[in-house]
Amino acid sequence: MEIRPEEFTLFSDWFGSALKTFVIAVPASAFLAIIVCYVISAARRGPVEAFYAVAGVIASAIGKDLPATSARRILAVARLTVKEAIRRRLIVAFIIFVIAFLFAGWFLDPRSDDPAHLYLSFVLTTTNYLVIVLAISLATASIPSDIKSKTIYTIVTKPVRASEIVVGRVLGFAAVISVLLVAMCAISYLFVNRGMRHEHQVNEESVIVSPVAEGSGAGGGSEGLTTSDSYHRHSFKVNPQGVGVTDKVRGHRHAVARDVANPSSYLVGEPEGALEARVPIYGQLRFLDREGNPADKGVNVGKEWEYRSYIEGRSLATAIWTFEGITPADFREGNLPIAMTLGVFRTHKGDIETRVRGVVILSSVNPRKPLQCEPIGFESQEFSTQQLRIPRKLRPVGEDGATGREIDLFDDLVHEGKLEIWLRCDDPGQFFGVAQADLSLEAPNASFEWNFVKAYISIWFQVLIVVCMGVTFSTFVNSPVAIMASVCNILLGFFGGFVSELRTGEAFGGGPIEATIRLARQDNLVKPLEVDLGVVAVRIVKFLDNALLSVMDAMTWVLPDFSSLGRATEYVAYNFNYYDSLLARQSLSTLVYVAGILIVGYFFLKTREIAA
Amino acid sequence: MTQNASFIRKIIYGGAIVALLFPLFLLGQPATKSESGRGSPGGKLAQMRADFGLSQAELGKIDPASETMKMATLGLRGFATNLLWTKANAYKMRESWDRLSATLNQIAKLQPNYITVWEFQAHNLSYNVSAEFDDYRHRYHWVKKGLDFLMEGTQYNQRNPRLFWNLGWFTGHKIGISDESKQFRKLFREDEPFHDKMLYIDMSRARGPDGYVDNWLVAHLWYLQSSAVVDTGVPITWLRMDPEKEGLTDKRRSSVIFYSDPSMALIGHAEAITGEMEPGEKTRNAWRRAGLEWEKFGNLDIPTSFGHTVRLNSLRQLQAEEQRMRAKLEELSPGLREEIREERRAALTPDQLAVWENRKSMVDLSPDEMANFREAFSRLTVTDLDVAAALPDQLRARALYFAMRATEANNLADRTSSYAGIVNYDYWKTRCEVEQSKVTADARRFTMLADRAADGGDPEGARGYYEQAWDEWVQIFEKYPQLVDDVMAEDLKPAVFRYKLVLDQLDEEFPRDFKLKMLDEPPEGEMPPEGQMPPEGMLNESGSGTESEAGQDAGTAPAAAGDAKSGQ
Repeated sequence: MEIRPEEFTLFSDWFGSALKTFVIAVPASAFLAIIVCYVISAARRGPVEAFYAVAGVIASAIGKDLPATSARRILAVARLTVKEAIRRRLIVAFIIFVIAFLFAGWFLDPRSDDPAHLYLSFVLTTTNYLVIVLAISLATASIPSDIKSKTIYTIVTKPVRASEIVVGRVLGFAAVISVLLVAMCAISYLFVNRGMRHEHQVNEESVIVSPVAEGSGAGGGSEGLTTSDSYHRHSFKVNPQGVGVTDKVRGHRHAVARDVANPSSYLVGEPEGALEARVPIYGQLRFLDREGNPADKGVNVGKEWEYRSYIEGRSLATAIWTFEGITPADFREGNLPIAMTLGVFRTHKGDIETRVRGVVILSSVNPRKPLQCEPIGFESQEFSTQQLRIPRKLRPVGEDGATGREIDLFDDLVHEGKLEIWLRCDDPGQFFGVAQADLSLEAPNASFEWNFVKAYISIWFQVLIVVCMGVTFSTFVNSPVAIMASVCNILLGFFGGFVSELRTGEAFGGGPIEATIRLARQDNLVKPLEVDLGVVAVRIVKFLDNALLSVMDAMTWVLPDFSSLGRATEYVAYNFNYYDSLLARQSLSTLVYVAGILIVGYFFLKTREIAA
Repeated sequence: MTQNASFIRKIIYGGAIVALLFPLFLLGQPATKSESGRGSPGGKLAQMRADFGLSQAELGKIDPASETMKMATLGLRGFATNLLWTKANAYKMRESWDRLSATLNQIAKLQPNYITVWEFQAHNLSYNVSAEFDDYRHRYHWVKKGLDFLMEGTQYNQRNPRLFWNLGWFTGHKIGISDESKQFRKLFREDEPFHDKMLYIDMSRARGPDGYVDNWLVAHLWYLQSSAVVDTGVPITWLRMDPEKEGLTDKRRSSVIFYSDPSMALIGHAEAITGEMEPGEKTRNAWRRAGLEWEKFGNLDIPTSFGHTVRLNSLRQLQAEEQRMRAKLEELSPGLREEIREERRAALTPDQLAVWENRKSMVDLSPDEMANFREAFSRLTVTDLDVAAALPDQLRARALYFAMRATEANNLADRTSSYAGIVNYDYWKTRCEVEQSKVTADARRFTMLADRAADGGDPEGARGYYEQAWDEWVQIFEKYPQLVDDVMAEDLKPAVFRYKLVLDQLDEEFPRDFKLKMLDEPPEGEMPPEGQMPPEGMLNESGSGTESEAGQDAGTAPAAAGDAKSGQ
């Protein structure tokens, strides 16, 4: 999984810069909105009347509607909305959801190497898309259908303010979808749990019992294979006491124990470790080049994906992570647990049966007492999480290479909570690929269930914004147009990065007009458009496309970033704990978006001439 | 008025729907024809599906998941597939292998009968993705993923030989010839759960002499399965065997290679076990089996792109036939061929004669000289038909008959020889013959024992075994001199080098009269001086004298002339 460094930022660090942006953006947006409204109004009524109209609306909003807003009336509208929603499409959506899960097993690869990831991705993505579609269809239809059926006359003739209608509608839909999400969360959890569950027996023919050590009096250990179930099998080892564990296959292990009643048979436990929430602690990454000089990054070995940077083996090239805030609590059972997910790049085959070797060196950042421990060797394990347990008692290495007396990792190497971990590749001609998230300290796992709920909270944030958008659009356009507008905004929110890449030329295919031409001509994405169209026509197309893409790109900066909101799904699917600070940041961003969109919706509804 | 307009609009819409439904009905009506022939053959689409054998039930299994996905895309199957394909590329780039694998499964379910998808992505998994992994066990796992993918594809496409052929190729070459072949073969033979997944083939026939399943024998069975599908007469444009379809398909492979693959897999098996186990009766049996299969392949009538079949084993017979007919022609026209050539020589222009007689290297010829050389070569090539045509009337009919027969035999022999050359037929035939002999098994066994003794620090014993081995190898190379410049001899060079080291250890000189010194000498007749002009004598008796054999360019002229000589 690609982990983005900006996601490591703590809420407290983020809040300051976010508040600054907020303080500048809100008055600027309000001012811009007022100017736009005035210009539109002036075009219709003339400059003077427009001024009074705009001022009147603002004064009414601040002077009348805001102070006189009634929670009772909002709740009444919300209750009405809930009733409407239940009457309409809600049950259908829920049925679709249940049916999707009933038949999901057909489409999920039962031979996957990481079924937990597949199941979690499926349930979270399905829920996300389904609920967004439901939110759009419910929210965009409500006010237009009220207007069409003339029910709105009954409402607006009552002493209900526009703000109360908009807020009530949003609250009602949010409540309904929240209840639905809770039900979906429970069903999804059961589905994933059920999908992971399987049993193995021990294949008794495969068991090899080690001979009993002379004079030990204890029985020998044993090893063997389990039966092949759910398209996989495990090998296991049991110690002389009769307790053991299987190897990790498809992301999980099983506990194995010798049956007390019948010592020749074994009991295999439930799968463990498939559903977890690992809590990595990330450090800052810097590099040294092959001569040992500081470098911005490692070597590019020619991979298209530049997430990782590579360090050369048997040279001074080093990746150095600096960790902060290390306390004795980070040590478990006297060890400092480290997790690594390194990439490996071989320039020659080397010894096929041996993995590429590397060393980890723990280094103090104390300038007065520079100290490094003896290199700790390991063999790489690509595309899986490799765990190293660094013992607290280590031997230091002097500049002359001689080892000194034993030192304590925390007392002697950790300085003001900071520690450096150096990584080097030990095989000549081979490379390790590293990114910031590829070496981390491991805190105890968080609760998987809470992590799962966090993913649903993240979905809930998205739905809340979609509902607000839908209701807001429906205050001034009819239902189909509101649906289109909402979908466009959501798509731009999801694919903002892609739009940006299209504009800068990083992605192929061109803007909307060029894409349409290519589709009609069945051209591929990389063929130059000039070939048949002619230079002038292509210039016009490119100019128009550039203008359109610039507008779209600018919009992506204003619209909520749905792809970031959906990151929780990836974290949970890859068994990483979703940062609480990231969730807190998202909740605050969602709140700001919701408030902003509601204000826009209120003004639109207020200025709409419904009775006309 | 408004109501009326609305009514009219509804009527128009209804009419348009009916009008559109009618052609749709004609096109899409399902067939109801029973086996007895009663009922309707269905609409145009149903008839075309029946004609081309494209209904799902005929292509392979009907998978509810696949059908559901196809329906769920509501006619946007191509669009969905494109999107998934793009996603798969992105996952591959971002090294998200599990998602890549899951996406490929979705693509395959959407387009289960699109063979290229199965082929391309299986290759992607087995060759490209597997190479991304550092640990050879992971690499093997992804090679298997590609094989799994292909095997799933065969279930949807039981009547298509390509996926079966690919299974044979991947199982044989990816597991048996890659850098990790030693490790892969070991993992494969112990991978019983994977063997259990292999439908269509009888795994009991894939066990080697040690009782384990061998990847080459599995490959052999997949190839046979592919040939069996071809033999059912499935219309295919995959193999280059149909002159009508020449140029219509862009992915074709030679039919002779296709038909040689089953026996080449057996040769691969024999070669592999010869390197892995002590040579003896078991390895000889493997070579014997491969030799028999190769002989069987040589007796097959192989379809060609020339419109007729060739049988590789008939080459000698064809060449004898050609010689016999030419001899009869020569009996009717003693010395006539030489007379014609002399006449033509006299008719050459001074420039043509000059370039012909000036024995310049081909590479030194200017374009004009080259053109003159070609012309002279063409004119001085006296064909059998030329000779027959020059005879008096009373002999000409008989002579033409002999000339025609010789020419036909020559043409067919050329084609056969060309096809035999593609698969190196003679070499493998000889190799199988040599390897199944006791002498070769002994030679290999002594070499292996000598290497082991040398490794075990027993130079005396090593020397004894090496010398026994050289005695055996000499017999082989004397009997089959063509193998001196072969991989067999090449493989011996490290052993000779170790023998030298052993002698060094024993403070002995490397013998001046070393029995295998021929291994260091360039083989006779090999590598003639670059650009040597063909000697004039080789043009004395031409075979068919086809235009192509007169040499299309400078590089082919000596070879063409060489062929003409061999025709004698």
